[in-house]
Amino acid sequence: MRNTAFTTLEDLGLDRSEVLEKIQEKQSNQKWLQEHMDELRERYPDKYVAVSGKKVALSAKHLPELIQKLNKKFKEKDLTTFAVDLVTKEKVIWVL
Amino acid sequence: MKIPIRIVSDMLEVDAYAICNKYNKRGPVTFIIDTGSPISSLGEKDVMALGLDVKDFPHYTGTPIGGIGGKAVTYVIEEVTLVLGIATGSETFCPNETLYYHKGREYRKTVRKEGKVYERESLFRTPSILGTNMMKKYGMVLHLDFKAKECYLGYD
Repeated sequence: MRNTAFTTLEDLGLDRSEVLEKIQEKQSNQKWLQEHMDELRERYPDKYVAVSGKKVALSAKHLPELIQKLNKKFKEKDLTTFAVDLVTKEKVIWVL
Repeated sequence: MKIPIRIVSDMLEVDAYAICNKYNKRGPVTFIIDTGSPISSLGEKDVMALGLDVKDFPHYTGTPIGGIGGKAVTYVIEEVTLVLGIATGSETFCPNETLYYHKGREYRKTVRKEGKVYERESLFRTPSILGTNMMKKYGMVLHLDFKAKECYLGYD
């Protein structure tokens, strides 16, 4: 463990199992999105999608619209656990 | 001690848990490790998913920040604590860091001479970036072996 000002997650007021669960849920959603990207290009060309539980929960043309819809439909859910990405019609190589 | 990194589409992803102390928001964020970036940033989708409001961020007024897409309007997100390596029990705490947010391009409409209106859009997809500033500050060593598909952040 690399320590700085904190030594444990509990020092930050975090519950380890809850944090771990959220990270794993996000990872799982991202993996599904990545694996299904090619088929999503046909169904959601140039749209933003939000994936949860191995399915597309919502899609929208613009990101703010998608987040707004997610907030409305999934009031109880932590949106950071969704995998959200832009599904381009054609494959794009993104550079930073 | 190793913080695992995934190689996804030849990019390097690392999981973190972000705590935005100033705005009382928190959640998991996936960062792209960018050895070509001397700063670290939160991407648009992560900013929005965390429930952060750009209107609350102060404008960045330092040396202009540019990328392949040109220069972007940049905001400062202060007091962000990042915890890396949670899934493997190799927690690394990066407390009270300053991250940046690069605002996406606006949608524009162009009126052509014939009277037709075309909407021109810019595809803007900013990921969250873990730059070299973090690796330098916390003494991290990037181990990258594409052949063996082994990648992690470690320490000397």
